[in-house]
Amino acid sequence: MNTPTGFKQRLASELSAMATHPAPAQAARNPARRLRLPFMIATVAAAAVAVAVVVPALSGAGDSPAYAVTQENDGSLVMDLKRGDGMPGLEKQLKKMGVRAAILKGDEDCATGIPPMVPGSSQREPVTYFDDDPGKARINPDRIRDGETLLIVAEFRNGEDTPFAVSDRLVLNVPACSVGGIGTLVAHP
Amino acid sequence: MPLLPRWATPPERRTRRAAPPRPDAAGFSAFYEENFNAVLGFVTRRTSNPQVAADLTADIFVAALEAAGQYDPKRGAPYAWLYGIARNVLASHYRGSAREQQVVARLNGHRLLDEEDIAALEERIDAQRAARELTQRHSALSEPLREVLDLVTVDGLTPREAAQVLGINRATVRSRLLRARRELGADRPSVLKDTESILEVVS
Repeated sequence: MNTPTGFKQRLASELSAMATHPAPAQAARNPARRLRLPFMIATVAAAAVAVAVVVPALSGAGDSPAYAVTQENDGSLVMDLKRGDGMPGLEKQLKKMGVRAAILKGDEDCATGIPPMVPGSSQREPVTYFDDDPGKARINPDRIRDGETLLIVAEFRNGEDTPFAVSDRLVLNVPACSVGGIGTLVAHP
Repeated sequence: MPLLPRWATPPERRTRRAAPPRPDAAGFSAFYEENFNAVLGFVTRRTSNPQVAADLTADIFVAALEAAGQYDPKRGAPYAWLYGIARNVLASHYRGSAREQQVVARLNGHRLLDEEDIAALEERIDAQRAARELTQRHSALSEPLREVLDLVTVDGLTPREAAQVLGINRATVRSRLLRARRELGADRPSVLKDTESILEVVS
């Protein structure tokens, strides 16, 4: 099992310093109550704010009954995968709009499992999701570097044509298949 | 009979009892060394975000350090005490995150990460995917049933250890596991398939 050794050492040092110089009683609250905005929620909340202030749909190019892509005036793209048969068109449209993307249907039997992520890329989070629509997501192209491909995996329940979950990660090589749930942020209804 | 489904990543097993937590730097350092992997495993089986995993790990150990002086061995083994703290930190994290978003944490674990740490966490998180799915599938259960089931199926604790963590007796753990099996079996046959071998251990 991989160990984040640098993190382990730095945390040990911080704890040692705290043990050597304990905080005054007033400040020594239960850290469980010293909560922060979690990274995941922060990202989604930021996306929600952006939706509220951005003038939507500067370009409505690429709309079809199965998918839609709109470009916002902050440079981000909002994709909406409405049906499974829209995946190829959506992929093509994203490429046209400057995003190197590959869209796969989640396959639990995929022998290669989860494709390797570009090391260290999880903190860039090029995609944020909308709480109320699992097929809809905001893509920030400036968080995708040269040589990287945004892999998007959509999952469908048996007999349903609308995705119930979409996840993403940045990859260097696009796999032939992938299991679902590959990202650090996963959209679920 | 396997304790975990074939596809689930087995959690780290304790090969010896952890040293008791002590509030002094040297004493806590030994406790930290013995339990770092277990705590990191606990959080990466529950979150898929490396930064959140780092924050939670830091919060759990800070909470443990602050409470170390009150540790009473008569009330349970060190690991049970630590798992109890971990559960509370996790619960508070999800319950209060939105309303307390302006509060600045004293020790933000994610600021201690470098790129290599993040890559290591990402690999670890990928390896724990099956265990996270299991916890998500249990989400339909009531909290008392889910917490027992998760400690046994996801964290690999024995029913006796789970009873210590939760501060309940073994008969109650046994009863909750049986109820969980009934509920999962009645409503979600696919989940029963994944968990029945585990639950048979205690039935």
